[in-house]
Amino acid sequence: MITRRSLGALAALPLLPGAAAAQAFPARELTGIIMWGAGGATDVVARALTPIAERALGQSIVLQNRPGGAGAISVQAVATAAADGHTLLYGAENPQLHKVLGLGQRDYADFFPVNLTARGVAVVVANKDKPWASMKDVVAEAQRNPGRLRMGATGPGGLPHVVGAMINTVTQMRVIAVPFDGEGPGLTALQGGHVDFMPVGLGAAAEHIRAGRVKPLAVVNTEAVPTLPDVPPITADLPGMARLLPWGPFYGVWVRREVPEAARTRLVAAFREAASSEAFTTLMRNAGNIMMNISGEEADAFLRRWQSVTAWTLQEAGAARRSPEEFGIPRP
Amino acid sequence: MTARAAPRPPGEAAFCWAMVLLGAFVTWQGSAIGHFDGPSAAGVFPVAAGGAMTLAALVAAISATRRAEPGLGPVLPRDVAAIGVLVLGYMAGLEALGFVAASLAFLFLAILWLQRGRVLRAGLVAALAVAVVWVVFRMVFRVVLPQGWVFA
Amino acid sequence: MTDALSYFLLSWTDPSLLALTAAGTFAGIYIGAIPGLSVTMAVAILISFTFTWSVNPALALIAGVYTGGVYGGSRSAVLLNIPGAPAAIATALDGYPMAQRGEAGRAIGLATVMSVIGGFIGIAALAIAAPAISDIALAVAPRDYLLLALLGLLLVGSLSGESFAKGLFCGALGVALGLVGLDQMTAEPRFTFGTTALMGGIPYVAAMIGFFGVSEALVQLRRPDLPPIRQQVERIVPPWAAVRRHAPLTLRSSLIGVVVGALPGTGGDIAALLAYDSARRTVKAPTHPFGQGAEEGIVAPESANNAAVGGAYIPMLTLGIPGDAVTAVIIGALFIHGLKPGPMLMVETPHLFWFTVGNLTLANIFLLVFGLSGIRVFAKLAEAPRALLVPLILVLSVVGTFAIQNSATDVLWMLGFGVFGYFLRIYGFEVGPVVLGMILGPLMDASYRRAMISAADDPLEFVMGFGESWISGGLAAFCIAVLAQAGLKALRRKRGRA
Repeated sequence: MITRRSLGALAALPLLPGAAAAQAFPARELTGIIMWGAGGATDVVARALTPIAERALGQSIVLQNRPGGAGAISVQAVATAAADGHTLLYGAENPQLHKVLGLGQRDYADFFPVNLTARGVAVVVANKDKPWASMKDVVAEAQRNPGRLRMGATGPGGLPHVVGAMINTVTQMRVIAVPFDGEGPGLTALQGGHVDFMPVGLGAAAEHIRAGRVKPLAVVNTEAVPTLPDVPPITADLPGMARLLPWGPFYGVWVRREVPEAARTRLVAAFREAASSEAFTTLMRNAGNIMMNISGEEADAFLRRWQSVTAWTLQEAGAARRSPEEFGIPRP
Repeated sequence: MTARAAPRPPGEAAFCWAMVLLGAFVTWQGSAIGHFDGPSAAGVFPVAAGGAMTLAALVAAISATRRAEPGLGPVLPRDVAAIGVLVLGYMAGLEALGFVAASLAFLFLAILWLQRGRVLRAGLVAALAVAVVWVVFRMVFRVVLPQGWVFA
Repeated sequence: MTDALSYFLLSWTDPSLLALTAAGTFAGIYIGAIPGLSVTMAVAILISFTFTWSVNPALALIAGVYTGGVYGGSRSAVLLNIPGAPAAIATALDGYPMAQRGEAGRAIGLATVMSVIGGFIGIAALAIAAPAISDIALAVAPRDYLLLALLGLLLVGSLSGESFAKGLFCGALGVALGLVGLDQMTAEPRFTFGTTALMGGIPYVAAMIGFFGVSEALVQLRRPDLPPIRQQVERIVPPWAAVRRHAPLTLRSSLIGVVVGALPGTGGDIAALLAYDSARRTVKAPTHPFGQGAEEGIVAPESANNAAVGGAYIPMLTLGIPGDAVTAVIIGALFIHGLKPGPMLMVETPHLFWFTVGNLTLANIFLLVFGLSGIRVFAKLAEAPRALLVPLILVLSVVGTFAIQNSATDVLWMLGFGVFGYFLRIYGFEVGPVVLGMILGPLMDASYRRAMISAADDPLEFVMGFGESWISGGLAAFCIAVLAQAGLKALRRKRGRA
């Protein structure tokens, strides 16, 4: 073992240090750590993307779900793994809010974005027996009966929480936020009449909307989306929200920043190929997601803007536990 | 379930009093959770669970102290203590040696101790068991097994 | 109708689908039997594995693994007192004492037959009453989940052994352990002592392996001179008379299984515990006292947890809402295979429904075949000398715990629980309530708080909520009746003693 390594070092002398080790990348099978549980949106993206990326890499990727702490457990696990590019983080937007919500000291600034795969659009849906026809009706009723309407939520930093905070930055609306274990359980409670309305990811709600089991009121976007051409954008009723959009959850693959250049390049190429495959893009389109398939500097810029918009929205709505200022997150 | 038939070793009352302390500790930690700003606060159930633990342990401790029967038999018989020490070594070994070497060593020593000898049988069973676990977990189900820094 | 029949028979007549269902069921039994390997994990792995296949073979394989896996947990529960999966916890309570009596073969045989009968009842409910049951499932409010969890926790009373106070302590300890980690509702850390490792909580499978398996193995070492138990391996298949005698209990437990399985917030583990609790309350003359190897203690949880499989498919196929963790992963699989799981699934791809029903039926037939074969070999496992069995159980516990999520911390917890459980046991505490509390505590905590938040944190409005629907009212009345019955019994016992 020692001899082989020293031989490698000898051969690498004329090249840059570390290049010899990186050229062999991937040297063994990779580990992929998924931030959320089996069956969730992040999990589905990871499991659909991986078989294609495996083929491109010529190595297998063993996937593990390490949910918990709104992703903090997985972030910690990957951040403390060897920085050789053999440990991948399959994640969603959550770590970008860990600092302001007091959940952890790391965010995606500590990781290199191998592939920022896709982003989702949020939609506000209501129980189908409610008389409302638009977002304006909900806001009006909430203002008539403050603290009576029940909004489905998924806990601090979740999509409903952020969208709720965004709405609150442009108009006053006091509602009861009932937290569920995820968007799925929240939508179930909405159909059972246990909550009145809920902002959710379009992917989770699309089929329920199509079947007429929940009523879409607005898409959280500045224009209508192709999946739901008849649903008005939220800016039609609340034009003030335009400055915070586009906004939505996103999914991607990360490695530690310290991973050598050569390994990064190889991973970026493999995942770019996987994310542009026909099968995968169809899957994402069906889920109402918008393909991004970006990496490196371009992805970093997106991540920074997302963090700045969201963290400051939460701060303005009084939902942040610590000010974004403390962490040097600039105002949007 | 099977322990009920066995004679009770000494130390029951002391153990129950230790559980009272554990309950009090849980209550104290629970009351430090977040803000108690309503009947749906995050700390309600932790405090309730800690309180129930404390009260229940208190009842058990008082009754055990009152009964004050002299215990029968050892708390940690030789075999339990020996296997306990081996398990501790196994835990440390997993970190250093990885699954295969640590499990081989643990199985071999534990079987050797419990059957008082018969080196060959202990070695064979240990090797066979590790091989089966390796094949089932690593090869068939592709589960990662603990890796050490001496052997992978 | 002929269409339905042809889809129902698709996997029976296509040799490759037939083989895949068989292989899935067989693999599922062993995945279920090995603690730490869960059906959820296996199905998730199968999704990547079957990515390039067409959807029918993938679904056939998954249905087999699911059916086999839910049953497989009973094997290790009976033989080693380690429930291979949470759904088999209740099975260990009477199955392991049966094995200690030399009746491991009979216990496994009974578990197999009851699982298959429960499985068929679940499938029948899926085929006949799916829309009606999913309507009920939707109507169940957070406050009703609170009552269900409470009903399950009442089982602590009958699992306490010699002292109710000790049982209550263990139950409360379990609740506290179950609450460790980041609270999903407020993102406040609970009992984490500032560490990231504890933010994800303590997996209850690790606690289950430690408290049941390791502590039992250590207790066994207190009497190393006891000879191994001779296992009788004749009469493994339960006689027809026994099946008939248990029939009312089987039916009742299966119905509990179907409904609890269909509820989006609960799965086979809670179904089995509730069925076991109901059996303890209603069966007046069990074959042996409960907890000491009663056949009824196997009949109830085993028929319930396999009936819960059919139940869990009900909201998944009719509404695109998962009935448990496994069906949540299956929804992901359907999605990856280009289908659109949701309320329109039955309208746009009606064949999928009958294909699934046919598949599950086939998987249950294979379950009967594979479940009843090889029992002799397994029963002999319980005859192995302690000197071999105890070290092997310890290694299997370590591997199984590590396999849950590749965490060395979990292994430490598991061993710690094993040692703690050893002391609890030798001082007359029962460890069953700890695991019960760990499973039901978090459900109770979340449902209670959800219900209270929905009532605007107003206790009066919270109480009034129970009058809002017939489900809440009925469940509340039932809970009060059960509590009153238990209270009366305790009072009578006290008076009898005085």
